Amino acid sequence: MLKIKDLSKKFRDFNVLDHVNLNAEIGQIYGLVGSNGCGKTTLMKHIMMIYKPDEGDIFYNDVPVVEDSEIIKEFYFVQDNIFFPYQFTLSSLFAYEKLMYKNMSDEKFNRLVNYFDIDKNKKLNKMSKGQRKQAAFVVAISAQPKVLLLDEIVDGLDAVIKRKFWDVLFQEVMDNEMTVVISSHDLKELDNICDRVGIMHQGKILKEDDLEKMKDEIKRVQFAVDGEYEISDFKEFNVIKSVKIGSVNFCTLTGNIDEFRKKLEKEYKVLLFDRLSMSLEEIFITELGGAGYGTEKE
Amino acid sequence: MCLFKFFLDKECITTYNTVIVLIVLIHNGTLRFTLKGGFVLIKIDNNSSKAIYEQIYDEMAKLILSGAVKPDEQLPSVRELAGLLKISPNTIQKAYRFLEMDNYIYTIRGKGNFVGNAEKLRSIHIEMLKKELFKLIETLQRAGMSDDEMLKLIKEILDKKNDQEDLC
Repeated sequence: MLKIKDLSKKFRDFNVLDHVNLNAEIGQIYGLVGSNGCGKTTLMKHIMMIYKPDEGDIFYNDVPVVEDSEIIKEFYFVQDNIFFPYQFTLSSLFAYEKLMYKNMSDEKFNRLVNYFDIDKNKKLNKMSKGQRKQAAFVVAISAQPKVLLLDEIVDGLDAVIKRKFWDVLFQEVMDNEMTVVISSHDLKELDNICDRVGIMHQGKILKEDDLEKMKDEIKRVQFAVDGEYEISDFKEFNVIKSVKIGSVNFCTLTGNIDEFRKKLEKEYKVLLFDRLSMSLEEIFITELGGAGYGTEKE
Repeated sequence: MCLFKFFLDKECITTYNTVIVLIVLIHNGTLRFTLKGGFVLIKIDNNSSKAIYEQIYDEMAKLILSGAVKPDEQLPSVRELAGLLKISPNTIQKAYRFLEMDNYIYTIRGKGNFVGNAEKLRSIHIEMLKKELFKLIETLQRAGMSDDEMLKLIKEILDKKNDQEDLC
């Protein structure tokens, strides 16, 4: 497992990371999501030991990860703003990276180059942003890393390529039990794909859990009653948000749904009652709203 | 008898091999086609309060019990299903594991997941559920519920379920 414990880092006076705790199991797809500028990229750079933490530790399978750790040679980081050396093609990039990654697979590389239909002799810096991401991804998978960090890689890819991308990622996760930490702003895309999610804001992890558990904890209900629904009577169910559209109420709550329904039926004539699940996007907005983000009124 | 002699004839060996290969291809082709077509019918409802792995389990169990997929037929691999539905392979794996535990499917290492015997399964499953119901009835009795109350409750639940299904 990849474990980050109480990691803190300051840039001058700015707390870029504030006691970050992150836990990702082997073979898990971990979604690192957060507000713009919350520190996702910085956190990933710490895992790669590009930065050294001020406080806290990183462990991989209980072994500390420090600057000279051998295990970092089996971590691969695909950055958002990918830098390729001048005049490099995918072929030259592969040859170069092969020097550093001992598990680099020629067979995988060739297969993926075909699958993504990339011209491996074209200069990388002449490619479009999306094509550059594909190229970087191909090399990353060919390196067969134990931990793969992907910083906003799906953001900006077309729908067809995204499918191929997930296909390849799933295969690798299954075959090599690769641990993936993927950051993205496209929460609809990550929904159902991530096993575990960490929600970040201003250098802190606000919430981290298996996605399934998160969706079980925060629930949404839609209901309609005869008469006026008094929200104050239902405080014990911890209603986080309540919206009324027409005669239908939509409530987001963490309390027990069955009890909520029972009480509702006791106090009112219930015309409609449905439990809905929260999407990752909705959970994200709710959590960040709780931290005061995005709550400004127009 | 004649067929056997036919296949032994040297000049017919090529034909024989081609025929066998063709049969295997068609067999696999049909399987894959049916499966791919059949399994796009697994609809995952993102708005449902049921966990994704549970939905997959339920849809698969339904498919298997209905006989739409035959015993010993191969199911899509975890990876195929994950890619098709855009769901984490770990979630698919979880559903498959539960399906295997409940004897809906069996796994052959290195080959894949296969449909179990539906008739046998249904009776095994019902036997399991009967046992659970028995225990539950005992618990309710201990909690003080009378036989009449219990019967009334069961009727209530069934009526509610029937109403729900009518609405769907």
